[in-house]
Amino acid sequence: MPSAIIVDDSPIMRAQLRKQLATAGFSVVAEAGNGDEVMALYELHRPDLVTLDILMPGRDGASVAAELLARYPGANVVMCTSVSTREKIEICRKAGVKYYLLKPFRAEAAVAVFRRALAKRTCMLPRFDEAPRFDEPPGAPTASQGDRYGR
Amino acid sequence: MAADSSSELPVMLGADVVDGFLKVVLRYLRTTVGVDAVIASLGAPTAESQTIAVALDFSGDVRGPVTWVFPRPIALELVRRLMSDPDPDPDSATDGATELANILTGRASEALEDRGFHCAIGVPRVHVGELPSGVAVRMDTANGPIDVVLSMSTVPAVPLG
Repeated sequence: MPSAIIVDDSPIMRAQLRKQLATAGFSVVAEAGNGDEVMALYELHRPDLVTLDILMPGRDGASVAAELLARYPGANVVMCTSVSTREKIEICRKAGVKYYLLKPFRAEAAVAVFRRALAKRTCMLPRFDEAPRFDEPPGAPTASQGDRYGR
Repeated sequence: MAADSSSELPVMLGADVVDGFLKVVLRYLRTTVGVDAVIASLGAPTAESQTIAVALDFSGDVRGPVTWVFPRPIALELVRRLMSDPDPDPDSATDGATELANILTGRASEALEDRGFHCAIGVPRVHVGELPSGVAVRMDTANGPIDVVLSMSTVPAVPLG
């Protein structure tokens, strides 16, 4: 089951996100109420998805996202925040954040975003049996892909 | 906008900025807690016993606190909606008020950015005691009045050239 970490200082938002992540098929492995704990939690759990608020005690979510994605470019971050200024959105976008959920959001919208984020991540990571061999030129279809395309 | 002109005198928010801020607030009260609020008066509200006051601090081109005073039923309505719980714990009203203040301030800050002010918002904190001075606005709702006090000031732009 894919795993997730929730980072939000509001207990009711964490409870809401917990429900929505469960509906989307995630197991929540850790929660934090501030931005200071995120790096340690990520390194401990290596989750498939991290939800990050921006306004929190300690470090703000935008700077945490930037550090997290600089160190782990494959991290899957969904900002869940009420901050909608272009400036903050731009900081997150430049850091590599792909998903930005603006509070108040509908449960169905959040679940759809979490599923999409997971699907994208699954597509990006090659399955072990599909990983290209080193003697194949980059981009060449693997044996299993060849089968799929009927070659 | 100048962000570090600390030697310059602050200026209270202009009427158009307050108007833009409040328009966003009314819109998001409707979408967040289903409350149709009507701006009733400008004045000096007082926090009453059945209300929860929450303040957030602006920094940058706009500085100072915005303080919200919510009736408990409205704070609980947010909890009800977020948790899908028809009968939420009354003790969660403070969490609801804090998150509602967070949402309304975050969204309304778009109105400040639209007018060229670059600002950051601090973490919400429960406000106890007398409300600060500033532009005080009362919004009437079916669940009691919501008050907001805009105590922020702006730093005048430095003329170019």
